[in-house]
Amino acid sequence: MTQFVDIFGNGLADGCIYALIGLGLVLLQMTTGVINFAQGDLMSLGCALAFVLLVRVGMGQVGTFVLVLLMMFGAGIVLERVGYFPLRKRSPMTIMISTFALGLGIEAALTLWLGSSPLSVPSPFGTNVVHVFGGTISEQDVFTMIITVIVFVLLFGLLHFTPLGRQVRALASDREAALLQGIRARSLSALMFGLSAALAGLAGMLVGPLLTFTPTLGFGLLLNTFAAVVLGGMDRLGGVVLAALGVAVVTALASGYISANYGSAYPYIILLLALMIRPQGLIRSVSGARY
Amino acid sequence: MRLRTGAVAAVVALLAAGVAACGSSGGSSSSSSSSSASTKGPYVIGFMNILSGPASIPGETDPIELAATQINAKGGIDGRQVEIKSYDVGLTATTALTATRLALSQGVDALIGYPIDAGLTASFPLIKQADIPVLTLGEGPTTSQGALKSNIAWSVTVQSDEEANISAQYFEDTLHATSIGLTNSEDANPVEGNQYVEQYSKQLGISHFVNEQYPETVTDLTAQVLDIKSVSADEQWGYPQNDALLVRQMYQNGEGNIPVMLSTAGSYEWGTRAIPANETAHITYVSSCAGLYDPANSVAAAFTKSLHTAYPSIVYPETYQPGTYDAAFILAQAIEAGKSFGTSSITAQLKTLTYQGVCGTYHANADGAMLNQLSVVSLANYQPQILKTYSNLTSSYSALG
Repeated sequence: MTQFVDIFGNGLADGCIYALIGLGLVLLQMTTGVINFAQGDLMSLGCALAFVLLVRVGMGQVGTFVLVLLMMFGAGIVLERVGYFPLRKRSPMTIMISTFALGLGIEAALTLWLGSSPLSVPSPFGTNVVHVFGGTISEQDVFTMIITVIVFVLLFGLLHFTPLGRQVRALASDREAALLQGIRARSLSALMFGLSAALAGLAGMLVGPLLTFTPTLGFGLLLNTFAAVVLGGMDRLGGVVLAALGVAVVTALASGYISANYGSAYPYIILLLALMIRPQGLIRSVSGARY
Repeated sequence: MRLRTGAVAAVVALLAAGVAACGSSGGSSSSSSSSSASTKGPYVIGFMNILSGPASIPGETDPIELAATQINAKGGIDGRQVEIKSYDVGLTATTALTATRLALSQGVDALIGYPIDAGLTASFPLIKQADIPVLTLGEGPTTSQGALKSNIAWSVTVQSDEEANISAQYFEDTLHATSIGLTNSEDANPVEGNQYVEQYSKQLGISHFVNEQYPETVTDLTAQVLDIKSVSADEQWGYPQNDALLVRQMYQNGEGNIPVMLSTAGSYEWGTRAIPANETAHITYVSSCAGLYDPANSVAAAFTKSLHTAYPSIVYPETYQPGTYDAAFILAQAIEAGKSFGTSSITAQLKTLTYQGVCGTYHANADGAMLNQLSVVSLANYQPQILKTYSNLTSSYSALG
């Protein structure tokens, strides 16, 4: 039981990180139709900014949290202006390559700025752990789970109970019809790029104390997140969160009870198995919805 | 307007590509130091090390450059000035091979470095063909003279089996461990290293082991950390970034009290401080340069002083750097003793030479390994403390089978 709690708790926390990255991907995909390959590197950037503000500047945890979110929102808008807006009429492949190039640029810039050595981001909870059924879960993990739930509820509310969310969902459901109806995709895209980057930055701040920062940190997490996004559907927030938690927990259990040596392969094995059983993904996609 | 935004996008894309190119690892670089004009031309040493990426160490070339400066200040080697050319061997056999080709094409007279065994073994046929001496940082059985079937390769660091041997001894005689976690990256030297630890530990009566491997690029070791939760101690054999990640995750999972023995790469932590000081209490590493902390070692004291004077920014004198500093002097001594720059003369001298260096006393054993002293050093609060020293070690790959 102890081992199960340890593994399950860590899996849930990992799933929350995947979910935060995945939510950003889905928001952007819904609004612009773009898969942002820079999302992982934006997560690394958020982690790096948190390290610099906490360790080098000496700022407090709350101030750092707020400032990093704002900075990441700004970074997202810059990314949109640079990597999406000028290319928006090109093919989706062109834009994807553009985001991939910008991701590489972010990674290289982080390497030049902070070096490639691992950096330790302090946790607001230190190394404190909570004991559950004999197992241990770090307080940082618990914090990550709570924040993820709050973010999901806020995003769900934003998408389902505000005019802005209605526009985003309309774009996701039938982009051409939505544009003909006068939905201003241009302004929405900047906003969603900013929001998506802020989510990535949040994931970076939460995962930094659990791991260590290196410029390549985000890319590996992004790959696992893709598995969850494919499973959960590119247009369903709830589906992505469920799939992220599922992928992470099953990966953790498989690593713990089968072999940890194949930890990086499990998400894709899960993805392959799930798609063999349900080629359409786990969650039904949005189509023909009324708003 | 369209033209303007398109132009902006193009410029930014170019900038991004440029930044990416600047930050990428791999390839090779060269720099030279010293040297005053010499009628005989300089003696060129190729410094083959990891100069980019997460496993690189800022200022890594400084000690060997310092050695060249000091040798040149005394008139060079037998009248020839020493020139250092640095090449980035990266982490893989391919990158090392590329760097070696470049070094040989630029006419180096000797080589020092190769911290990754696979890099040396891949490059060695070319080195052998060029017939130049190579003083290596190779630790594994594949880089011994027996395995390479050549006496032009000499190791200036300790061997993996020696390192494993003292780890096992320390687990048994000091930590009284009954079960050991063996965590390592998946490449050859760490895998072999932990296999040796297991073999030696079994000989000492330790019977329970938890083996965990991971790719060197791993960013999450949660599963491995949870698996070693019940062990008495852990042997961690990987790259410095793996060490920091493992310790961080052990603390985050309530395992901070488990003693962790890092391989020689643990010395890297002096520079990066990637492990927070308050998480170092139970962290030790095997140092192949404990001579650096020996107050009676005047060479080490002079080295530290000179290094800090020449390179004020360098904050940590250990890791592989002192070994490369010593290697340059060992090479110089071998040439001067044989009064010849020829490879056969140098190798003949290296066979019997004894050199008191920064890291200790160098004298070749039958495998061509020249340093046979190791210490267990505590990283606690980043105050170096030698916990135990093991001398007169003998590398015995053949005995292990």
